[in-house]
Amino acid sequence: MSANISRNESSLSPRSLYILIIFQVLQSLMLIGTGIYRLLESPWLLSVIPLSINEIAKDAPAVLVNEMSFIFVGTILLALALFMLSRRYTAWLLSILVQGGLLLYSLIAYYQGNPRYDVMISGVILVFYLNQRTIQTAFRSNAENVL
Amino acid sequence: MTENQEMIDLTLLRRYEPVIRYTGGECFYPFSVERYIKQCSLWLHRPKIPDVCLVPTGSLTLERLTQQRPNGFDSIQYVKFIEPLDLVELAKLSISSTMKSLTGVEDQDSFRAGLGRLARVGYVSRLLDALFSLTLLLRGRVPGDTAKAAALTYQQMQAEQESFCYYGRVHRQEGWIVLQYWFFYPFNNWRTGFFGINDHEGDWEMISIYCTDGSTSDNPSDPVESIRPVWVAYASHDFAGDDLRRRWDDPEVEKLGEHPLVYSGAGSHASYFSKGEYLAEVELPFLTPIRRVWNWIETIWVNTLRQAGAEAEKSEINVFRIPFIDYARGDGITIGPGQEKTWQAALIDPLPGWVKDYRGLWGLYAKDPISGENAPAGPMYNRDGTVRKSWYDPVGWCGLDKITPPEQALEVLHEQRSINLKRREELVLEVEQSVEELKRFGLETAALQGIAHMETIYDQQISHVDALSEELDKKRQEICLIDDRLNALDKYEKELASGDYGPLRAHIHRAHLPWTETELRLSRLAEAYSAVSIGVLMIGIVLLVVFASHYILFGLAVMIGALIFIESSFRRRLSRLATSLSVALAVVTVLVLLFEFFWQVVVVLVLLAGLYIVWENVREISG
Repeated sequence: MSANISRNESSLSPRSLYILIIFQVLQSLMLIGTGIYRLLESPWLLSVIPLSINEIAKDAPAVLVNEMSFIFVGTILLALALFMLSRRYTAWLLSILVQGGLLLYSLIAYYQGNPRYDVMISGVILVFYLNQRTIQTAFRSNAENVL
Repeated sequence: MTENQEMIDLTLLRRYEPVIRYTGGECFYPFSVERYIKQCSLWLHRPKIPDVCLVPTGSLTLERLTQQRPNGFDSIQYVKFIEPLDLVELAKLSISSTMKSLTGVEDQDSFRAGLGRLARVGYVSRLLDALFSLTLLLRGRVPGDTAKAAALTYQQMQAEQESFCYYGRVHRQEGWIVLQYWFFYPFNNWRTGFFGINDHEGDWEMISIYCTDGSTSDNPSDPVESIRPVWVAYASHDFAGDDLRRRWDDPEVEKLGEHPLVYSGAGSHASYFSKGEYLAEVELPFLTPIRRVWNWIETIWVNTLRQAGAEAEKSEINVFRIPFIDYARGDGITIGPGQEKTWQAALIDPLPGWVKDYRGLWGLYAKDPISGENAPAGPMYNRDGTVRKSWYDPVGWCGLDKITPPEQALEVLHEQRSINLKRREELVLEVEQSVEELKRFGLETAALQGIAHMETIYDQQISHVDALSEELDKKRQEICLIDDRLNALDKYEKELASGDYGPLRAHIHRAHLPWTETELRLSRLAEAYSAVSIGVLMIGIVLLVVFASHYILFGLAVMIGALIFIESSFRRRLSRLATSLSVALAVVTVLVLLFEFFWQVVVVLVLLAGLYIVWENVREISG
């Protein structure tokens, strides 16, 4: 029974794969886009009023860490989405791990009163999609080195 | 029963008697009930009053055991094999076994547990195991020194006169000749001797061989030679029905000549087809509702949401059960024909009094509410005095009641085909009649159409025609099904005629298999870690409460996180752990989103449903 299921489910239709990749590309673009936007929006970068060195020093690390991280994570997810086209198990595993990390971050941010609902919603959709039995089986069947 | 029949039965039993291989370190072997009873006292338990000794040690015989005694409802008769050791005896025994272990002159076939059972299962099961051990303090149980004393007494009795007995019964039922071999062990020391579930005095085990008689009235032959084994079933813990049974020609049924080889579980004496270490699980009654809720969630998760992960867990260990290992290694002594130690056979037909008339327990009644530590009743009875299924229906006990003995198979197949053919003929006739009726009504209905004052009758007629059509369709469907069945029977007849009785294992739903070498290949470190982890966690919680109560939640999270991480590393399941963590975080996030935006979520879902319906309809219109 389980062998039959595995055989049937390992043949993932390209449409499901494309949907997954499109979702992930959209999410990564959203992360990169909002990251760049917030970076540009931040007062120390584009302020018309010259800021003092102290003010820049106070704001810069937080903005950099937050928004640059989003751009970085977005870029990684974009790369992973492309790797998923060749159905690499490692790409699937890293994707679900990064999504988990994003969800953890967004939950902590929510707890601290700075919720990122966009990250939450996209993360939830992608984690459940990545964890679909058909998707997981398709990637696992291609696994060479499972941890 | 005639003397000749008795001789035939005994010859049959002797011909196929099993060879039993025990695990090194086993202390008890099949013994004579008569000699055991002579060593026992008979007791009566009634609720709320102290137990009463009915017959003291030294005076009990099989005859006295079976005397009818009016005891009243809720009373339990039991025999007591071992009196608790006094301090001097216990000290002697302890010193002797310590000396043996220190000087390295332990029994040649002493037991080494090897990889502990706890290393083979997850942390939830280990936590439950700790709870189970604690319940033993509250439940009734066989005292710890009883097993040692029983082993000592048994050794003394065997030293006087060594014997290994079985009690055979030949039962004829539904074309089967069932050879039942009953084995009585003076003690089950699975818990104290082999880290198992329970200890109890007295232990009945059984294996059955299901034979058929190849001789016919036209061709009478030797009454023993014509009888051939077809199936064999070994009693083993909570397994029942089809899973217990194997076909005689199944390679899993090892044989020495015509004698099936049985591997006996150390201390538990459960019987297995293959040697190895088996997982036996116990579910605590109070966890049953939680398990049901868990199963319900799991079903939704896997079947409705089509999420992965849970189906992999399902095939493994149930986390709500406590795991125990039954060691059936077959590296101890072997008893049976052609071996150094052989059987003394006793036929229990006609039924002796100790089988038929004694419904009490064959050892100490430990007052354990879940019965694991109470002795069992005899071969014929359950603990509550009702007759065992394996006794009154040995064929149904292993699910054989739906199987036709091979010699009768063709005859039964022909009968079944005749029944099908007869039904087909009836149906064909009924269909012809229905067609005629339907045509007549159809014609009449057509004639009534459009006549003003006949509208009501016309409507009734239409309904009747519809009903007749439906009925006709059902009959035609049934004819079609019967044709399929007849075809299948024809095909099966050819297979039977060529001696092909189908796949060997098709009847097995859940085969009880020993652990494989790969599963046992965990490191010593993993074993040590498994043994101490739960205890360390509990101590850690206490230390947290005492010294850092402000950080209790954080500390708990860190400790449990570390436990899970180490566990997953040992089991090479880090990727599964990562996936599970991401899924868990997603579930929590969904709850947060629902909490914050419940009504918006509802609106979005309704909108999505609306869009889906529109899309479906548009697609239909556009063809």
